Amino acid sequence: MTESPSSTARVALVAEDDRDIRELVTAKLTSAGFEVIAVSDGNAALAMARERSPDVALLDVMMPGLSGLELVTMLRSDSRTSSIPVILLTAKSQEFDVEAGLAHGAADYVVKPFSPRELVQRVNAVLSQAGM
Amino acid sequence: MTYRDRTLGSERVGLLARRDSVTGRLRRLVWSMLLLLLLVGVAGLVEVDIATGQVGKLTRGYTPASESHAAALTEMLNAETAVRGYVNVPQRTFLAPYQDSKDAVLVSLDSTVRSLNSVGEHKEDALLATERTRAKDWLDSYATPIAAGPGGPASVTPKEQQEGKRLFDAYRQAYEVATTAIESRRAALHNQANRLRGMAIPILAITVVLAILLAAWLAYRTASGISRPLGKLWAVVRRIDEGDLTAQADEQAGPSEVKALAKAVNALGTRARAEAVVERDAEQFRQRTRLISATLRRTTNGAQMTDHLVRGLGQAFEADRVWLHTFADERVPRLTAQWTRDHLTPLPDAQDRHVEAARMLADRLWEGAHVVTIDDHRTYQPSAGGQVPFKIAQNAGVRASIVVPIGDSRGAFGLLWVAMTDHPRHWTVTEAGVAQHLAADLAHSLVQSHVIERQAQAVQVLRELDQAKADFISTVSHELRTPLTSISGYLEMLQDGDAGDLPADAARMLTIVDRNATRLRNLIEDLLTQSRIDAGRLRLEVSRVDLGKTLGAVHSAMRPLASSAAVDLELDLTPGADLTIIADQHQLEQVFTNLVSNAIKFTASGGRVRMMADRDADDDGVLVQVTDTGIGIPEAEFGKLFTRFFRASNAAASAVPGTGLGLAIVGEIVQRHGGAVDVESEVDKGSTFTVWLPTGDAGAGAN
Repeated sequence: MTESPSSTARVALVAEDDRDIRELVTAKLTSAGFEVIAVSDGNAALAMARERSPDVALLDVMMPGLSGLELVTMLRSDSRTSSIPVILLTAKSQEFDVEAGLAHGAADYVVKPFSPRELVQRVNAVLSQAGM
Repeated sequence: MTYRDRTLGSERVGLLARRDSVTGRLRRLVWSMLLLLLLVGVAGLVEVDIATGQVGKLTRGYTPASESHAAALTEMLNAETAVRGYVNVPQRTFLAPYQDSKDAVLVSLDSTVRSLNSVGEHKEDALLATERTRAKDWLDSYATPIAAGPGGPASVTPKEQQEGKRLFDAYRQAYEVATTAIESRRAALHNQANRLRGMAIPILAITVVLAILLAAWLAYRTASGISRPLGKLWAVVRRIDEGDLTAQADEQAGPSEVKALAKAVNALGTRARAEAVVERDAEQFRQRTRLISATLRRTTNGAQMTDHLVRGLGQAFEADRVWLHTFADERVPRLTAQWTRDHLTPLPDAQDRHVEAARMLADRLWEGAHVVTIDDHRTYQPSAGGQVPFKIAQNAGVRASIVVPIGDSRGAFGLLWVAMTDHPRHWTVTEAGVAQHLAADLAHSLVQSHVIERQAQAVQVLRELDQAKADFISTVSHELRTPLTSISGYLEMLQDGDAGDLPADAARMLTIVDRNATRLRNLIEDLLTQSRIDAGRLRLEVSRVDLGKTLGAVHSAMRPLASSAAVDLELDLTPGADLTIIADQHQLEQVFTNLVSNAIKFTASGGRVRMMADRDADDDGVLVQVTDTGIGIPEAEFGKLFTRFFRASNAAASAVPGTGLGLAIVGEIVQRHGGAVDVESEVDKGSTFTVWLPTGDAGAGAN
């Protein structure tokens, strides 16, 4: 973990349809040293995940196109993307079936409104769990 | 059901004259008995007569004859003694007995003959005549010498003496013969009388015995001739009485009265069978109508009810058509139902004017509270103003009808019409009653099901509205969270210095923004939680929760609020106490956030809010206390504190803002955790909220 951010920066894929939240997350992760790929819908996220093989993916549960849950399932079933740890962003703490999300293979979840500081901590925790 | 009413009276006519009647038989028995008695009597009499005849002969004839015969002998001996004396001593005085006896002998003999003559048939006359001749010969032989008289020479010569002796001997011989005959005859008669007397008793006894036997046999014949068929008849009556209506009496056996009784019993049996059939039909009818009532109650669907009713009625009444209509009315749905017998074509839908006419008829019948039964439309005269429906019915081929209005206490709302086509029909009172009863049942069921249906619809509408409201609140809350995420996120970044150091004024302003963002977030959380509770969707996501950490998080989150209100916020955890429980961490955070924010809100600047936590004395839960030095709560309102939208009177009066949701949520969540909330408060002194939460399985080390 001593590589300079520019050359070997960890890549985070952010899929979030709300532009302001997407930019918030992007800004925070960038300032935390991540290279951020930000997309606004599920299909784009799937394409990017396959193309760029990010180190971590932050997926909004409620998105146009594929939902976060569907995305997790698809990423898990594809060998190219199956090892990417996923953190789900959800506005629904109750209705969102946390168990289902985690069972689908999500590593963690964050309920909106969340603290950006805490989000970064969770991302780092997930990455260290995944051995990166 | 028709049956002939048999008249039994005619059977009785001439019954007494019948030969094979009971009376006839008894009469014959009595006559036979009398005849037997007569025969026995006559036989006895004959026997007595025979016996007395013999005795009579003895007493009337032979006994006097025997006596006079003996007297004659005595006279003869007297005369002979006198004669012998005279012969020896011819003195006239010796002849006196001879003179006396001479006539007496003949008189006695004649008396003997008379006595025998009185007996009737006898054989001794000739003997007696001979004896008389001999006696007279002897008597006469001495007449001449004796007549010569005394003194004369006419003494009896020895020759004459010899002759006299011979004649006397002849007499004695004749006498002996006669007396032997008489005595033997007398003895014979005597024996005969004795024999007859000896025979009469057994003969009479035998006759009596025979007569008794004959009488007994006749009595037995007569009795059995009457009692046997009567016994059989009795058995039949018993069987009928025990319910065997098929029992038949033999109408050909026994005396005529028994035959007549048998016929009567059979007639009664036939009638009982007919009545049983009628009763069974009536019971089936009642059963069917009960079934219809039961079916009506089983459904809440009006159309099904009316269909059941018309079909059931049609079948039970064996009608040709049943038509039912409910009119436009708020009490019941508008329904039309009809049933027709198989071969009939259903009626076309009623036209509006028909329905209108039916409605008027129903109203009129309802007012009169009666059912119209029409046995034959061709002879029926409807009252003025009510002809139209009957005319319509008649045009549709109806010959007989039962028309029943359907309604409740507020009037008619329908009409039921049971009709026969082609033939008139007599409707019984039962049928009319049943039709009315079923119409009432239907009315009741229809009204009730309509009410229930409308209530169900109203409930459904309310439920949908409630759901829409819950969904709306939920959606709004979610939608509020999205902008709040950006607001509080960027706020945090600004405060963290992600955009570089901020001027002191800007930092202070951002603190205010942060405080209100927090408040807003708490409000949204409360709204969302409440909507979940209302929708029954609040679930516990339990895990191992360290209440110390949770309280710490709440403490730090609330500190900006406390400091801005110039309230001292303390967290006082008992050192070393294990505050781990099984609970929903997120929900408990909300509970303590609400309690602490309330405490801060109601505490004036310079006051103090203290959070304390410890294991409870029983060591099966954790006690958390939030104490403030605020305005307090009137004791009377403690009970309502945890009711949603309730706000303490002094809170409202002090214009302290709030939704009235906070404590309601606290109460709900704590209750769901199996815990309890307690409140102590004194107005103007402060309040203490104590939350007790069970440890759950924390000790067992759940996740």
